[in-house]
Formats: sequence, structure tokens, C-alpha cells
Amino acid sequence: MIVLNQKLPNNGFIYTASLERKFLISAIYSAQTLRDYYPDANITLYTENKWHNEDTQGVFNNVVYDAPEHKRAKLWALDKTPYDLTVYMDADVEIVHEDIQTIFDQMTSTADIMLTKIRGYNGQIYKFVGGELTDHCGLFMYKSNKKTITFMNQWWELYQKQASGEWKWDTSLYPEELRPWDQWTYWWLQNQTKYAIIKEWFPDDARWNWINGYKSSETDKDIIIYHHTLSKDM
Amino acid sequence: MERVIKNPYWSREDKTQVVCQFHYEDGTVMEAAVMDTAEGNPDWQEIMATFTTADINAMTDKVKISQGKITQKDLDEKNRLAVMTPEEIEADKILKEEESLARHRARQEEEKEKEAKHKNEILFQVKLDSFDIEEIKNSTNRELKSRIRKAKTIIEVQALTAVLIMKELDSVKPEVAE
Repeated sequence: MIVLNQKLPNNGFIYTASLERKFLISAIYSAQTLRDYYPDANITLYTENKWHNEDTQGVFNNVVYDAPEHKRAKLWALDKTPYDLTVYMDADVEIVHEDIQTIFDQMTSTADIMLTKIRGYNGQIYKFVGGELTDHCGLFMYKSNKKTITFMNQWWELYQKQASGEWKWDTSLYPEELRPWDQWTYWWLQNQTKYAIIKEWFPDDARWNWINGYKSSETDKDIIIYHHTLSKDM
Repeated sequence: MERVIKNPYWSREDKTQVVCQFHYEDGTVMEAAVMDTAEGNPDWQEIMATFTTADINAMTDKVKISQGKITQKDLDEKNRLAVMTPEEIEADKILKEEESLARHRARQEEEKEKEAKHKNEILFQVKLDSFDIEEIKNSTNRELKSRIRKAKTIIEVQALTAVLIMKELDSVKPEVAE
């Protein structure tokens, strides 16, 4: 087991892979595409101990095998990042452009977290009586300051209560259909609690997290990160 | 017996016959079809004196809607065109054709994007499958592996995967003794 106690004084990417092997395979592949365009990237993988003997092909700088067997293990990992500035990416993203090397330059002095916008036409549920989900939580960049790390910790803690049903809310404002989504937990923390952090969107954000199904009019520049959906049959 | 004529509507397109209701003092209501005659039909004359053409036109439209012969939308369109000049009608027709073409193009674009989305997902899956093959996973040929990852089509992935597998298999062939 590798425990990263020290804070590494640089910027890096983190992936998580848990529950199904396809996420591990995809995370390895995704990291390889990242290295294709950003050879010196710092990359950490958080995954389950049951895959301790899987060959991760030397693509990660660090592999931590403590991740829980949980569909949102990513939330468990976020406050454990070893980097000053972290980019979290879902395992099913593919890096397709060298501009990935400028990702850390996109962080502003004011933001705690930078994300991309949800496109309502390409998602399941995003508008409801009590509000609207605006921030896509499959790829984001965040600082390791105290309030942001606290936010990440709260995100994991609250999501567990959400998933178990322990957390109940006014369903006349917030439909029960929101329960599976970590984007809902994020929204709640940002809009209804003291843990809110300053969020900004990536400039020309679609390039940075191009979800399969986006309209071509979303950007006139090259896509940098392509966000797929892993096949259920994999 | 006194009677009042109500709700007249054209029953013929050439407007030579009206269907209306005769409401009698004793409460009886009769539906009648009324036409003018060579000698002059007093009922027809009474209808034309009591109701304007516009009144009868309006009632006719109402009846057609209730009978499902036209929709309110068709009626609104008919009324809209009725107050336009021939030039305005022609310009309106061109505009409608352009709008229809734009909608058709938007539908085509949407279909194209849907197809591209589907192809992209399959391509990604094929690449993942390729990199799960032992010879590919274990290969140290970074250049070819990178080319597979950057491949734009399924056939390209398959071809490069086959090339790399053959190279890897060739590299472990036992030497044949002379």
C-alpha cells in the first residue's frame, strides 16, 4: 500500500477506478493518452486493493490501492490529492490535443475550483423546481487550500448519506431522481451550505470536457479532452 | 308564428345556399337550407338583410372546425393571408420554404451528429479492447501504441493493432537450429 503523506509541490492529475475492472482499464488507457500529449504529467491513480496485481503499465507516478469499492470512490479520493493544484478526470476521458499542457494555466487567482458547464440537451436531469445543476463534475481542477479540501471531504461524507437514503430532502423542490448523482451533492454543498467554494468555468469550456453528444457549435477550436461513456457490456 | 333566424352558414362553396336555424315562438327549432329563387325568396332576403357576409363567413368557419374539416391553425393562416397583397403572399411563401429548408438541414445536422457520437463511442471501445490484448499491453513499442491511440477510424486501430501484435510475436519466435 502506498500512502502519500507528503504534499507534492507540483500540479497533477488524479484518476479513480473502482467497482468494475473496466474503469481500471479505461483509467490506464486515459492516462496513456494523457502521456501522449503531456509526457511529463504527474498522475496518481486511486484504485482498489483487489487490483494490486494488475499491470498499470508504468503510466502512473503513484498508485494508491486504498480506494473503497464504491461507485463514487472518486469522492473518497478528492481530499487525498498529493498535489497543490489537481485536475480530477473521470476514467473514460481521452486526451486528444497538446493544449492539455496548458490546463494548469487556466486556473485563476480567484477560483477554488474550475469546471465545465452542463449542457441540458445532453444530460438526464438538470432543472428542477428548487434550482438547476450547472456544473459538470466529471472533470474539474481544484486548489489544495483548506476550504476546498474541506469541501471535498464534505462531498464524500454527504454523498454516502445521499446514497444510503439517510439524507432526506424536500422532494417538492428537489426530485428524488437526483439521488444517484454526485452533481446533486455538489450543488447542495455549493448552494445550501457553509462549505461553498468559489467556482469558475474553464474558458471555452467545451474543449476541456467534450461530452460525446455535444453539438459541434459548442466550440470552433480543437477539442482537448473527449469524454466518452463506457459500454455497459464491457 | 313569429320566428327568428339564427346561426346561418354557407353550405356551398359558391355561397348560393345557407343552412340556418328557425327559432319559433313556441320554442320549436328547425334547421333549414335556404337559397334564393328567381322570384325572390323572402327567407333568403331576410337572412341577407339581418347578417353580413362576414357574419356568415365566421359562422361557416366555426362549423367547419367543429366538423373537423379545417383546424383553427388553418383558419388563422387563411385569415392571415386574406389581408395580404399577392406580392406579400409570394414573399410569405418563399419565407416558409426557407424555414422548411432550414428545419430540414437542422434535422440532417442532428442525424449527422448522432451518427458521429455513435461512431466515436465504438472507436473508443475498440481502442480500449485493443489495449487489453496481452501483446499490446506488454509491448514497449511506444510509437506504434501511440499511433493506435491516436487512430481516427476503427480500421486504422485494427490494422495498427495487427501490425503490433505481429511484431511482438515475431520478436519472441524461437530461433530455428541450423
